[in-house]
Amino acid sequence: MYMKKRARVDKKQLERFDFEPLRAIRKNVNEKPELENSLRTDFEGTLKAEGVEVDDAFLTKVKDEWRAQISKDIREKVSVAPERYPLLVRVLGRKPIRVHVKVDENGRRVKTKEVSG
Amino acid sequence: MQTGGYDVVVELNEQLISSFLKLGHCMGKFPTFTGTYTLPITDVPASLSEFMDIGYEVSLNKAPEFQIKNDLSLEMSVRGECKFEVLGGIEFELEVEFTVGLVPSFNQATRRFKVDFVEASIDDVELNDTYHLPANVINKLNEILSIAMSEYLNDDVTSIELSPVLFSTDLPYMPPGDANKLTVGLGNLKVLSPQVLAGAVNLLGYNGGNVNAIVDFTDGNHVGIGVGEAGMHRVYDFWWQRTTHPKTVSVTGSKDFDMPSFVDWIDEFVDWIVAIGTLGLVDVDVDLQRVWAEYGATIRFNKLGFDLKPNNVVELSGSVTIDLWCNVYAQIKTTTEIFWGLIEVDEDVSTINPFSCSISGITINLENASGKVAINSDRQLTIDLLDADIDIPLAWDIPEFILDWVVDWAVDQIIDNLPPIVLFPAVIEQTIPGSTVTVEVTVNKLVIDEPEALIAANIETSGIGTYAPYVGNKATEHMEVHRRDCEWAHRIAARNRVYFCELEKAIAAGFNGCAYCLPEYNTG
Repeated sequence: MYMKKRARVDKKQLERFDFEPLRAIRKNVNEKPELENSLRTDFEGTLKAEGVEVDDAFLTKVKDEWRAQISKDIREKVSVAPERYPLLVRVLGRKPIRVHVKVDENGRRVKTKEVSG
Repeated sequence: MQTGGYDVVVELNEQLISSFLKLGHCMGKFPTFTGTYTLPITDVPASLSEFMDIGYEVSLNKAPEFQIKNDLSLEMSVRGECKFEVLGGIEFELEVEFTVGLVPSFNQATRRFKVDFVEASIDDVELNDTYHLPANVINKLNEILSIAMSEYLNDDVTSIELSPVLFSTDLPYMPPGDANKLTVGLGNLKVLSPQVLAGAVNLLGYNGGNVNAIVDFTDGNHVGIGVGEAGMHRVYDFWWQRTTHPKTVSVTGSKDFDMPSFVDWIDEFVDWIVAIGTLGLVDVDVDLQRVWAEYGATIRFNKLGFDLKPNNVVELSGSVTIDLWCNVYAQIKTTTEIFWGLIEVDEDVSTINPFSCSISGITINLENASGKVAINSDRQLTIDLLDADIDIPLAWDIPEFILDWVVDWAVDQIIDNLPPIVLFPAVIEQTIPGSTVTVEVTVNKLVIDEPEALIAANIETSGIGTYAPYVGNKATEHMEVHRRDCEWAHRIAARNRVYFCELEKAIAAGFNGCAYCLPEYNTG
């Protein structure tokens, strides 16, 4: 059985995800709470009703946007405490991750990663 | 360089040669030889012609003794028993000691040492006291015996194998067929000292080497096997071109991450999952239930380079080409609340895929890699990897704990699936061809230095019970001796078995011949 994390996520804390095709509907949700209930019951239908065409282009666009924001989140997290994320420091610095492998007489393998920037 | 520039040098101590001669004697490799010598007298009347023939029967009643003389020639001392039949039916026996000059060689086809008999000279003749033959008769008999011995040793028993098969020509993970076995050529031999013989061969068509540069590296062990580095490269190249060992592997894995192990990323994960799932349009209560990654790689291994250094250090170089992918998933449960949150209804469990990364055709170099030459469990020379730096150029900005895990996994897959570096086939085969004798090898020395690998080992053959031609039943109510393949021999309890190389010794020890397989020695 896995541990769980229960959380309430307020839409305000996700405003950093721009989702450009949804800017208008997002503004409307803030002004009309019933729209949020409508989204809960029929997400895609409500989007269409609000003039958002949910097609491949839309999906590609929002995927690109969430990926970009997640990537930005990760960079910000690393920039705050780079010493805690040495591998990401190397990846973001376009350096390869160097793993030193040592195999002892009994075949046991010890792997250490280079953490210098 | 102790192997004189040859690919393979095998060395054999005289102790092992002597024990193989004893083994050969016990296994009947020195058969009884019979013949007739006709006195070279012309114009003999027909009525006397039968008196011109001297029949003889020669058998070795004791295992020969082998020695390398100070002048580095080889000889074998043999004690034989001769029966003569003269004057149309009169029999008498002599015991004779003679010396056989030997020419050793290393048989490339069998990878065993052997000696060819070239010359027999009689050292001593002991007639049974009862005959009192005059000196001129003895001289004549010596002459006949010399001819007989010469025929016996040079015609019937031309050579004797003196060692186990010292190395195989079969490499691991090879397709069937002779074309995929090592070819052995240019055999050469040198007597290194009064204790040690050396044979030198090359592999796969190479023809270099200087026999005079070979040095004794047996260190008192029964056998030495030296393999030059150039020969190792030749073997590895041959193996790599033909092996059936996979050079490309595709592997997959998955990992569930326990939340405490990525506690500093949980809040971000929840945000990301909800942002993807709701596009940030609604407030939501969510249980993040599970985070896991599924990943895989296709790894193409290239041939590694190696360079022997002093003190069994092998520098390795090479690369692998890898396609690597990773998908990260999160499972969440969202709950819709009604009545101002007093009642929870309608739970939905969803799986979101926030990260989907892949990279193709990246070359990963093994930097600063080193290993050591070792004899593996199949007695083959291979290189064990000890150290390597592996650079993985990933451009994946994914959480550190996932990156860490996938990089470790990828490195493990590279190491686990690395094709072996086969330098030499199995040394000292564990059976002796054409016999039931097995060989136990104790490697006492493995020295790897810049130009070569030197192995020295002692060899124990299986006990007399695995090859003696006669089996006695020593239970007092039986005291019978049987041929090895007699069905009654198989019924003797192990505790009552006693083995004989020579039937005469069994009879002399009071055993009665089996009525079934040795009726001529059965006294009822």
